[in-house]
Amino acid sequence: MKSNRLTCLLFAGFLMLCGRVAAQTASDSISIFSLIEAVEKNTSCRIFTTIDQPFLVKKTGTLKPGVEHLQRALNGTIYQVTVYQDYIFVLPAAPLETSLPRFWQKNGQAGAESSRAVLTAVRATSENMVYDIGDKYKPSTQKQITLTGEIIDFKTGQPMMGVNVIHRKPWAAAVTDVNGHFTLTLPAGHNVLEISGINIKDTQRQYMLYADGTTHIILEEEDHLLDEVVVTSGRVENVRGLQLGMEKFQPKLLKNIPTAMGEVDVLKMIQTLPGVKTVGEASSGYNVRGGATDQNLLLLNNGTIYNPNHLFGFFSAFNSDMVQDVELYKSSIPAQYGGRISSVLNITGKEASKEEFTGAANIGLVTSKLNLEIPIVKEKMSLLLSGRTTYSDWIMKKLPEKSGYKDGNAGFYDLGATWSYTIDPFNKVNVYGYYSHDRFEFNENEKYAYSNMNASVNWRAIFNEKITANFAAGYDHYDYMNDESVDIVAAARLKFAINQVYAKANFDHQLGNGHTLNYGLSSMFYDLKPGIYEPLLEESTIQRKELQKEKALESALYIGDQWEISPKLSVDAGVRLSIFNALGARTYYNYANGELPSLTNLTDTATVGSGKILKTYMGPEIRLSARYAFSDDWSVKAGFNTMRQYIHKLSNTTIMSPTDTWKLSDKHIKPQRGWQLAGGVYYNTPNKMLEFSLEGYYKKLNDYLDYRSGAQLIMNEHLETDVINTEGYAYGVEFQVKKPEGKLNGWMSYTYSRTFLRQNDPRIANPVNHGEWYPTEYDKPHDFKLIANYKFTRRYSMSLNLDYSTGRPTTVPAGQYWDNSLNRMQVYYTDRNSYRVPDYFRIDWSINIEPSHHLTLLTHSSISIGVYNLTGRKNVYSIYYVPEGEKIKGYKMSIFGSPIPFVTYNIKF
Amino acid sequence: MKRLKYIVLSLCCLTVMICSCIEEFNAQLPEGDSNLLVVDGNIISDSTCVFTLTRSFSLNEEGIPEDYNQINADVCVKGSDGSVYTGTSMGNGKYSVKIGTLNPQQTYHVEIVWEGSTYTSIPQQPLATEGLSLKFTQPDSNGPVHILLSTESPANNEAAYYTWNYIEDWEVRTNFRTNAEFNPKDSSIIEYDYFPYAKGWVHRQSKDILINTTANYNNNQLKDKTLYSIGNQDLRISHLYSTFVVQRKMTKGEYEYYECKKRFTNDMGGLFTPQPSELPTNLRCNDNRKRVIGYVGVNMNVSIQQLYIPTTEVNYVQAFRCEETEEKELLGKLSQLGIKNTTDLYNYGYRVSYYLYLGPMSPPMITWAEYRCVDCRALGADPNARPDFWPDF
Repeated sequence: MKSNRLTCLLFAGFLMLCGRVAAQTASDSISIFSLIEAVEKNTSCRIFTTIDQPFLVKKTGTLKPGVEHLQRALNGTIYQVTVYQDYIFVLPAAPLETSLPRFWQKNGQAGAESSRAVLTAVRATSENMVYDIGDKYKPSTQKQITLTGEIIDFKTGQPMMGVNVIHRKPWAAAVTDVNGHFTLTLPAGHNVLEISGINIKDTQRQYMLYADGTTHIILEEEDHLLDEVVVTSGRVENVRGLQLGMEKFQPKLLKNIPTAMGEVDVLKMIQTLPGVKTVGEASSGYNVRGGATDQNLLLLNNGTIYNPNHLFGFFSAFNSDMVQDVELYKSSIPAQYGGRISSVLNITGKEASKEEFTGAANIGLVTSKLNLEIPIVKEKMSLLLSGRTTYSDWIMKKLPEKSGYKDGNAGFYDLGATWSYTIDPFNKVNVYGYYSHDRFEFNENEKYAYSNMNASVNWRAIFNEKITANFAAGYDHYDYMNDESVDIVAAARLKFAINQVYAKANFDHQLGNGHTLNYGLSSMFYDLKPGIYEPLLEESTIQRKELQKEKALESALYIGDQWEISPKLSVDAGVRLSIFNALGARTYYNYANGELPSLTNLTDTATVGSGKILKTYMGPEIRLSARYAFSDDWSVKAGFNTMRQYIHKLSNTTIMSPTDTWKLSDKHIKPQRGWQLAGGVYYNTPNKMLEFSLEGYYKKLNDYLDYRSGAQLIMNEHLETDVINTEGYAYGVEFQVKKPEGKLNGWMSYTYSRTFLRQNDPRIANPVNHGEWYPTEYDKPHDFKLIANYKFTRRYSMSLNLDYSTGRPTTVPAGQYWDNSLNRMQVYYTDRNSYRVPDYFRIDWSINIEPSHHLTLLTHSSISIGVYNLTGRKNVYSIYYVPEGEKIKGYKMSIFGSPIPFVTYNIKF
Repeated sequence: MKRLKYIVLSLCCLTVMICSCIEEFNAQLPEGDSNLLVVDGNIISDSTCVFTLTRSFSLNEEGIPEDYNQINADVCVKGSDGSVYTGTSMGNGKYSVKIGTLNPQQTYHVEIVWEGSTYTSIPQQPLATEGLSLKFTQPDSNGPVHILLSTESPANNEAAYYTWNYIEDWEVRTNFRTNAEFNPKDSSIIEYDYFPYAKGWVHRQSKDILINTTANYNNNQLKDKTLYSIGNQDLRISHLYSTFVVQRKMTKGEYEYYECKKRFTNDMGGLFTPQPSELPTNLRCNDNRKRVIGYVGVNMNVSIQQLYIPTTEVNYVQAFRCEETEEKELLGKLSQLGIKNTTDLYNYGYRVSYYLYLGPMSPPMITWAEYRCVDCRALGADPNARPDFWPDF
């Protein structure tokens, strides 16, 4: 078949050249070969013909002729046009039959094949062809047909997330999910789907719908390097989607946003979004809508990442080369997610191309990366390998003497792998692996290290047009280690580890009549090693101590229904029943009733055997959201959700520290609970140039775990005596304008938000701030962000990142006193977070140059030159007061106190 | 179509990659709670305990207010057995309380009445402090000398919490013993028949917060734990050094108080520094709105141990050189610096290191050396402060 095609094409090509000469003689005519060439080019179809002599046909009147033009041109000749999938046959006499006669289909195997044929995904590559869905000889009696589809990148074979699929009349629209899937309910008969998205050219696909079916739409990405800054796919999602407070983006689309050290960083990117805040620059921990850092669920291919930082938070633990796309849920969290009360960040790893071997390498002064995409079986199986390392010790040498870290060393590496196997168009299995390791030392006597490890297997199955399932199972691990050897006899190692094993099953079920169900179940087994303290050297007299393990089982059952009541009104209602069983073997203390746990009111000790339930917490979580679209460009949305969290991070530092302890709920530590009410207005200008959104929220937190004054959080056998349940609330308004296209593109957002905590338990003798509400460390009321890219020409563009926020609250001394024992001045503190550090302001700038756009060149390069913190503002990370003789002196510390220039050179070949 | 291969080379400018900085911060802070009562002192059996009462003041205050210690209060120590030990004012906020023999089965607390409010410490049973032993070691002859401490196992074998302070004395001897002193007023030489400034003593009390717990150690016992170190060029070990280490047992609560206080002093400003919080205290005011600073411990005893370090048993390296130069020669050498006469020499920091009267016909023989080489006072020592216990060495 291939050689025939080649012969035909060569021959046709030769004749076309000849034909062109003749065609030039008649201005309203065109050579048949020229027309065939144009149709082929325009439709991506291969044309086979027995025409051996050129002849003139009438011009089509369009620059993009399609099959129908070819048919019209040949009308009245002996040639007939037959279309079969991607092939067009132009043959004399009768058209070819492209399907078996009906009587064949009624018998034996043919009948069995028929039912399979209904399930067979139709591969749609051309925008001018009309693809049949279902059996045209046995059309369904349904008026509404469910079309399930998957959009795939032609070059890489990878699913494309965030692509808009729109049917105009009647209106129906969908955005592809992380697996490139979409589902639409359309009227039977001929339908045109408009397809648009970032980094792809607008296109369409035509379908003749006879029955429910599946299609694979193959799209080709634009060839030039992307030089626009766009976060979400979103114009349809923005107005028509049901989700509030959700952001999607792909790291590869963010290359031009200027960042410290020139490295594209997923977590830094989400910090540019409204409602996402941090307490400082050296922090990858982030706060979403007033939530604490541990209230964010970070999922990497279904596995949980407990410490997403590298190098004190300068880099995130995720190598952007291995990330396909990222979804952040700030408000309407789908029922399938749970376990944290503030947000969900779902990161999906990239699959390697199944078509051809590709690779990417990055060599920098701070990090180096290597990314290999290896097809193992063409179109079936591939392997992606990704690695990153750093040689950043020299950074520490650049730190000021006063920082205390000048003699330190630091480094990290991470490895990722994705094995992907497409069994058939309906079944795909992915196996993911991830490992990251960090080590740093402030001096030779104080060393830290921590690791994240995840392994998971994910099977996606399309049972039929209506039911799609995802099954996942995996293992997550996080550990840290701290060596201290200042004093040989006290040299000790502290170790902590979290292990968890999970299984999840998630189903998407199209019920018809506008109902789409999402249901499933999940279960996770926790096995925490809260602490091991052991001698590090032979001379050490430290006694080995191991805290008893904490085990628990967290399970959930959920169901949600996305109901499109009318084209204007949609509702998503879901419920998630979560059950948490704290398991033995465990020995724990009981305390006097009605009193705060304390060693002074300890009553007795109880023991629970291995595998026995120590305590059960159970409760429903409600997920509700609704959207009313006044038009295609204007909608309002509202949502309400409740969440529960059974694992808590205990920290008394401002930022996420490498020795933060995690604690499971148990007999004395209740789960954290929270609810959020949110609403929003979304408007896109009629020309789609601008997208406006205004969202507001009110959030309540209960049983947030705070530390008591002087708390011992590490190696504590009875942590309940050092923590306290706190309540909190947060509210805010987020306004955002996006300009996704044009010479000037980007987004701008302003957030006004507040977050407060209170220790209102009457049992607390001396509550923080007298039991009054006090602002959290991340309460920064005003927050303005601007990400802009201006494209001067195809070659030159400029990017700008502006970040302003109110200074964060901090605790400053309430006064001073003369300490007679120490013979010096001392400070003391009373109210927590009573003072704000100066406002934060930063501008990052870069200019991006693409020297050449010629597709014929072997290499394509681009260069970005930029400056992080262009104005060199010394943004205050912390302020602190220390006694110096008879004086108390105040200091402020900045992390990046000067402009940081960077150059990034990219070369593609 | 071939997939493009992709190489990204990230080059960052070497010059100012990370430029974090720490600068003074002199913002006017909001007025917090000030004028708080600060209590310093412990209840120790069979001793005269001194409670020092002061008040706190605003952070914006420059220096120590004159009246910071003008606290007129009633101070007493009460026991659950009904015992009361009344304090006597010593002035400047100091109150002495003569404590009798405490009963380890009873609880005791301090009661302070000040400005109409009553402050009391949480009653506590007196803790018996275990004994300790000291030794020193210099593992590296060019390194510091470590003072090592070991504690006895607690009687109940439970985790113990200790605080230590130490009183140091050391003898300083000059490199040159001189019997003459230059008088700058009249440029005369005062001759002595002894060497008045050749040796002296320094007395010092520790200012550091030294605390530890045995919770993590074998047998709840600290063994050869470094209490503090002395550099091998430190004058303290130049001749004879003595230290009295006072060990006092604490409750966990008091330990946390000192730990918190220590953090406020030494550990602020780091990336992962815990956030400061209110100092724990075991003192309560009958008026809930009033806060108080301090933690009052109750003990049956404190343990004291003394350690001597003679310079002969360690490797001491003098940090500065000493040499004598004949007067004329020295004046010649320093003439470039504008030093013309002996008064200039004196003002420049030289002292007579040797004087020999050769009769009226000959000029005396005078040599000079740096101040610190001939006068122990230049090294912070007091020639008249020899401690009573000081041995002849």
